[in-house]
Amino acid sequence: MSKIQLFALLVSIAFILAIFQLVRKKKLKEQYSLMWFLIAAVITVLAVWEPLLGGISSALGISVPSNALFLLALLFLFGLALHFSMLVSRLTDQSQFLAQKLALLERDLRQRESAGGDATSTAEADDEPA
Amino acid sequence: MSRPDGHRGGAGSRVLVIVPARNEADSIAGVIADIRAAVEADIVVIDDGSGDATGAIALSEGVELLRLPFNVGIGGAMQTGFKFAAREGYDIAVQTDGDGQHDASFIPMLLETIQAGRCDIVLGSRYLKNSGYKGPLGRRLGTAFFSRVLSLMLRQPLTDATSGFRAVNRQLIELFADEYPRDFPEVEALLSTHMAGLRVEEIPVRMRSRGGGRSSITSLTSVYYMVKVLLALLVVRSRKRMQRAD
Repeated sequence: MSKIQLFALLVSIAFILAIFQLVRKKKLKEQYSLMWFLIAAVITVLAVWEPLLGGISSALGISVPSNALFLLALLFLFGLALHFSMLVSRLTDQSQFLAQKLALLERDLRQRESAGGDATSTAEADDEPA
Repeated sequence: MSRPDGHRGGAGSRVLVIVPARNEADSIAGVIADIRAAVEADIVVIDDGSGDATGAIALSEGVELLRLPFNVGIGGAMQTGFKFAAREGYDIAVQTDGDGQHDASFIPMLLETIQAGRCDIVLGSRYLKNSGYKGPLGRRLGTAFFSRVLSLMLRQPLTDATSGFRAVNRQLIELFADEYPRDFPEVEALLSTHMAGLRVEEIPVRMRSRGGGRSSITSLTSVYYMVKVLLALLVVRSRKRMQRAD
């Protein structure tokens, strides 16, 4: 095993431990951690089994294997950024919906409080049999 | 306070005037007074995350207040008003800015146009007649551009597509309560109206130069405005095509 392979292996193991720690401390949701575990696993495999990267790069027609690695990493990061943009869009919609709901409920509460006497008498009237 | 079962605004329709306001403490009381002088209708102020006393002033004026906990933009604020109008069963919703640039004395004309049933949304246009409106050149050019684009898309002449002084009927209240663009909503909402098979009309109004507050559209954001609205128009159109294909 070459030095760089050993280094890559150590980094990916540290990566896996760090993700595991984040999940344990509840700073990372399991659903997102799965993706990162998968990436760490891919890095580990590529580090340990050197011919794999060479095979991928020649299959893609890329002469230097490290370029194939950069290409795949870049594509992955593009995909990830897009995924996060989608998540942010959804969160934006959700937060707007909640803000509007809060505004409406706060208004209802204010009206109920200002009409406090009426509300009580209505409730009492409802309790009495007709 | 509001009387949800009351009939006002003439012709038996219940009218809600929606006033989106962000940091308009200087002008909001005057705006409310002008609306009250012009029309008998319920008024709701949408406080879009103001840092000043806008909401408190609106409450002390005795109008309905919907206070958003943080800024959600003019579109998100207006949609809050439409949701309120939909829930409380209003027949017509009027939109007028909280900064006093819209002349409330034209609200009855907006209402009459809706009540006559000729259209589902009516715009108060600064340019339909020579109203003497002298806004900044960039703004006038932007309005002219979008009015032209929309005129082509809707196959009807429009002069002031970006006008935020407008009224809608019950059908559009429900549509907009359900879906309304978050920012720069005016132009996009008109295309949505058209795509839903509903009708747009313009009437001439006068607008004043701004009282307190600043326009939400600065020179920095105007490029974003153009690109965003054009993209939104494309998206809205393509969605309709998708539905047809289904």
